[in-house]
Amino acid sequence: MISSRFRFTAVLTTLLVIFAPFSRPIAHAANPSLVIDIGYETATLDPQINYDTAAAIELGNVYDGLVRAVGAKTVKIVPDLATSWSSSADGKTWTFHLRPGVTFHDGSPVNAEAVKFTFDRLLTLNQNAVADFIEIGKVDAPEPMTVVFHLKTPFPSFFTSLTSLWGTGIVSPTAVKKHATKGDPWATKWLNEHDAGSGPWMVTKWTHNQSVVLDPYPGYWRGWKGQHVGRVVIQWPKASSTQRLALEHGDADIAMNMSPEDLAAVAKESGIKVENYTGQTIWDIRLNNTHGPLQSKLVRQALSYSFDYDSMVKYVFKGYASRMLGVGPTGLANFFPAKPLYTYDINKAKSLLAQAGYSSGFTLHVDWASGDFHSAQMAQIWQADVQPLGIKMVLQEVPVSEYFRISQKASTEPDIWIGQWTMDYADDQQMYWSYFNSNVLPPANSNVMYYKNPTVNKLLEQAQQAPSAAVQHSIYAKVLPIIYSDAPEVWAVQPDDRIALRTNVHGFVYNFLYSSYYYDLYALSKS
Amino acid sequence: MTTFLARRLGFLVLVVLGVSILTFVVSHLVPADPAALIAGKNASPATLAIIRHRYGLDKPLPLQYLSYMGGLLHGDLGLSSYSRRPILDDFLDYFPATIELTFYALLISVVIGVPLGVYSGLSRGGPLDHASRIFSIAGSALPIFWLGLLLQLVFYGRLGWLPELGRLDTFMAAPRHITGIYTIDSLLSLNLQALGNTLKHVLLPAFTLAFATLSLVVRVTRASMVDVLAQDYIRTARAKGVDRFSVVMRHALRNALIPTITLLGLQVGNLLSGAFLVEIVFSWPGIGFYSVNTIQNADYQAIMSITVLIAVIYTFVNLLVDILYIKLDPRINYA
Repeated sequence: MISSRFRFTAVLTTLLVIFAPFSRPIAHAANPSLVIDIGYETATLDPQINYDTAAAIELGNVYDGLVRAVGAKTVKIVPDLATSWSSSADGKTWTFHLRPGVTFHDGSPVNAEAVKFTFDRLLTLNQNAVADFIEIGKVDAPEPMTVVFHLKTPFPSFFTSLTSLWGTGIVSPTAVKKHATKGDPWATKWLNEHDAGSGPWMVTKWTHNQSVVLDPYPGYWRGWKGQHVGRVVIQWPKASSTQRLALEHGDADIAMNMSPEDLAAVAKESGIKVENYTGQTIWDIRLNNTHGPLQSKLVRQALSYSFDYDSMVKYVFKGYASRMLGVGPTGLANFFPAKPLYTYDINKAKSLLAQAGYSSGFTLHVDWASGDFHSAQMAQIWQADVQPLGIKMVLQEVPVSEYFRISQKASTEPDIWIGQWTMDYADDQQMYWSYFNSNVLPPANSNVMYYKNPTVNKLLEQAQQAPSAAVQHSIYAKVLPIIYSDAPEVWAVQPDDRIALRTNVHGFVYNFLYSSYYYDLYALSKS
Repeated sequence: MTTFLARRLGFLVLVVLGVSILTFVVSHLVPADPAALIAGKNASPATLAIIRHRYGLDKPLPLQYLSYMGGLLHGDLGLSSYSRRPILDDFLDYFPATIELTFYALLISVVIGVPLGVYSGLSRGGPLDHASRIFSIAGSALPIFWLGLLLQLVFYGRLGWLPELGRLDTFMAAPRHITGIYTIDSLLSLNLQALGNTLKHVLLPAFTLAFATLSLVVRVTRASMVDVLAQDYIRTARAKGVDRFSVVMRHALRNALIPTITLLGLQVGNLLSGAFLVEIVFSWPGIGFYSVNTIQNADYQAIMSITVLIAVIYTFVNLLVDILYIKLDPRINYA
């Protein structure tokens, strides 16, 4: 028999549980917190391993690099941990002088040893993030605050490559050594989920598949005067509709991956603003230069004239894009506007095809990544546009994982692949080198067009190892018109980055290089 | 009983073997290169080779399978190429969330479904009977993700009564980790706020997940109730003067529940697979959410391990259901 007093207590407890105040916040600073919704979670926060845009917001805010890129339209490189730098006349030695008085989150000082340790870690681990830094031969720390990079060959883009967020975050040797084990001397297991940086934010807690909590580092070198947020929570709801609801309710302050329909809807609501910026990611249409008619330069040019650039911008991207104006994205080092541009001119395409001996047409297979609805729509419009030319396009979606496999051989690479490319650092050189050089084919590089032009190869190699950025620039001025005229691909569009924010979020500064993947959380405040 | 259990456990070994071979073959038929996915766009052939070696992808397929099974027998599920952590750690992190969700979904199915089914069976042709039939059809017909989005829109978006995402409010600390099941952990650590918050968060996803099962439970309970009520022994009981309530609760329901319990056992599989969709919609950090990520990243090892583990759990639940029959109906004998 249950006593009535027990029953009363049980009922009271249940009621208390159900109607108890539903939130017991984790103790945090007086400043308001900021919640960011991003569609994808990263797998690792190790700055020398991660090579994934999903981690950029954490990596860029938790770690400092030697230099940083800033600017919403074009890129300027500014000091971060390094305050000044110089290179030798042959371009093979780079010297950096470090900012004094900076400490890591564990309190140890940021010095030349730490920078050397970080790059040793990057090169020894030899994982994905090393891709942009293979030209580094050796790093020295001759003085406590002076670090010297010795390159294997001159590489004029070395300095700009340091603006990459991947591989470059300087780690605290003290923290890494503390968590190193016999089988894991670089503490990769620990750095997978923790941080050893010197940036404004510290990783307080990462709950997988839920959220990352970042708290301010009190000893940050820029100080915490002025307006800031007190805590940042990054979470990963996959559905755009879920992000939209959270934003509308004020449970999220910034949403990064919403569909155009949801963006259009929230833009009309009070309390929410949608900001649009030209991004540096390009959508380019890679032609397999080894397949049938695509071997002919005239056919490739004809395809470039058969693509209705303006309609794609207007109808597929709803106006939130620009047509590409050259071989790479605008706004970064070594971009050259192409002259004359390929325009939508079906008669010109027809005469080029006739010249090439293909006036009766042919069939092409056009593939893109599953779920990429922009590419699907572009392919459909293009398919209709080339019909009068006798070209039949067979359209197909392919899972990205499968594309990685088929793109490794010219014979299995589709006739046409609609893809995207985002530059890791502030120099179009990264794309030119890995796209158009036939000496570095997949899987090592991204020349999935299997484009081959010996003159281009020679010039690209000269540019890659030029003694200075100015010499490199002058070589690109010569090689890019050749590439553009060869038309190994169709340079389609450069879409806008679209970010939805609550209007009470202040200080958001778009960064052209890092697109919507990274922005300075230190600059943000909330009213 | 012992021979029955031995036979069923032997069967379990066969299931594990079958499922693991099937998953292995199917996941390797998919023409994806996990090493290329891990390495990213600019990886050198040397980096690719290192990655292939690290994850054992350079070995011939039968060897890959054997070394996987060898590891499995030693409790080592291997390394996830997606999360870069031991798969067992991932599983232990995420599975409790799925157990919690599935448990509440089952609870909702039973607590609402059985009384509704019984009542429907008792008042055949009445308005509530018709309503519950419409409800059951809806349950089988509505896509689970659609229902989830709709409930989110109404209860979070419009009414603001219930939270949208996750297991706890964004700024709420999780209860001390004991089992990973927040309901249990918050009870054990007497963290009532966390308990209340967990219950509030689990309600929408659990109801979404339960909906299809709930409607089945209503239909099956109703049908078997109608069936049992027509039996001679019920008439005898009524003739002996036993009151209607006792007839229904003591005599009829006990037998009528056997098909329902069979159904619930089988539904555990459906709930686990339904959890994949529900977890995505509600950002519920369970094994479904994790699995979707591993599938997108062609993480063979994790896909296989999760499939095998779920197969084992499913088989165990069915064994449990068989044992439960004996408790409910002493006439059932497996000897």
